[in-house]
Amino acid sequence: MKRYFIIQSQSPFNDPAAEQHYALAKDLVDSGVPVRMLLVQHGTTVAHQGTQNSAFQQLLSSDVELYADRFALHERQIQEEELHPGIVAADLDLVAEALLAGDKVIWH
Amino acid sequence: MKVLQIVEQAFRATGEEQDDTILWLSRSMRAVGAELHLLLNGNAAYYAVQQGHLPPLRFGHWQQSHPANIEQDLQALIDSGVTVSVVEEALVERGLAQKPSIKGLQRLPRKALASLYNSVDQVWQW
Amino acid sequence: MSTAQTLTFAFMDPPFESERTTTFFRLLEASLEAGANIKVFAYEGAVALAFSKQQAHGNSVHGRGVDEEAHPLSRQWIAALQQKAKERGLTFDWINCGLCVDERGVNEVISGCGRGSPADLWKFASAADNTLVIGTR
Repeated sequence: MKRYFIIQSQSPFNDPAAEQHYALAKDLVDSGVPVRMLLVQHGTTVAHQGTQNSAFQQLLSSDVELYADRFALHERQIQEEELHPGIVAADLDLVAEALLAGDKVIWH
Repeated sequence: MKVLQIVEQAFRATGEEQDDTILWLSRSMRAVGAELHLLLNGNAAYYAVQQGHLPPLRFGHWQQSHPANIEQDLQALIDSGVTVSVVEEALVERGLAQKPSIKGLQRLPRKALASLYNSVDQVWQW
Repeated sequence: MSTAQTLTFAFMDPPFESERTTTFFRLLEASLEAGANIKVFAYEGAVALAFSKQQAHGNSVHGRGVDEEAHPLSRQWIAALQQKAKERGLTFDWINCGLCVDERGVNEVISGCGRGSPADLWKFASAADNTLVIGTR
């Protein structure tokens, strides 16, 4: 089964669909397929420690691997040490590698 | 290769092809043999219960001749062999669950999406 | 003929209105860095990305003239990526949805960009190792 790589550009603070995307990522990983999610653009805003969103908290405690786009973090002046534990700052080469590895890459 | 086409935006650019642009693109790709499953989610749930054409636009003396007919376009996709589904909860949340949906269109609970995603080769979220 | 893997991208946003546009170009850059051939299908507003008549301008609010302002233009970003692909022996194909071009009057495009239809997206995707669709909102 191909792995999933989800690019999450939407923020739960502006887009209610983001919470559905988190739940879907959990369902996919619970179905036995590895899932990675890269937060990009406003999708990174939920990565800051102290944010309050229960759907994202559930995602944080799931087996979904979480990354945040370093460029988007820098734009928002979010320091890497300010991220929730478990979220790793990454560059977009991660997406290129996932595409080349044949992952199902989905833009949300 | 089987592709899951997900449409979440609705009534966004129905003037461009006098159609939903992603339904139009899906029909174009189907015509050259694309194997597709089309999933309506979010506000595109409204498409699942459309009847007839959209209201024509009118500006001054200009009037639109062929407003989009989403029902017809979805029916054409279904008739061409594309499976078309709508997320059940997207209908329920919008108070649309009791409305009749387009003939041949399937309703899928959100919990069934993981299985649907796993059944295709690629997922294209429009 | 490049033997590298090929990635297809479908993109829908115009040059300046969304953060998606810069993320998309960053993804193209990262994919070339990773050694991939690139195929792009530009749909809807994205067909304006390659419009050759895009003009840089000065900016009186910034107090800078045309040269000093060096206004970013998406046609230059495409040209830079085309050049990067060439230098690395990779291919970089760009097809605009032709009907989308006609509707917007952006028929004049930079060299190396062509016109086609959604059938080309399917052709690109079928031949590629993987495809990413970036929808608009």
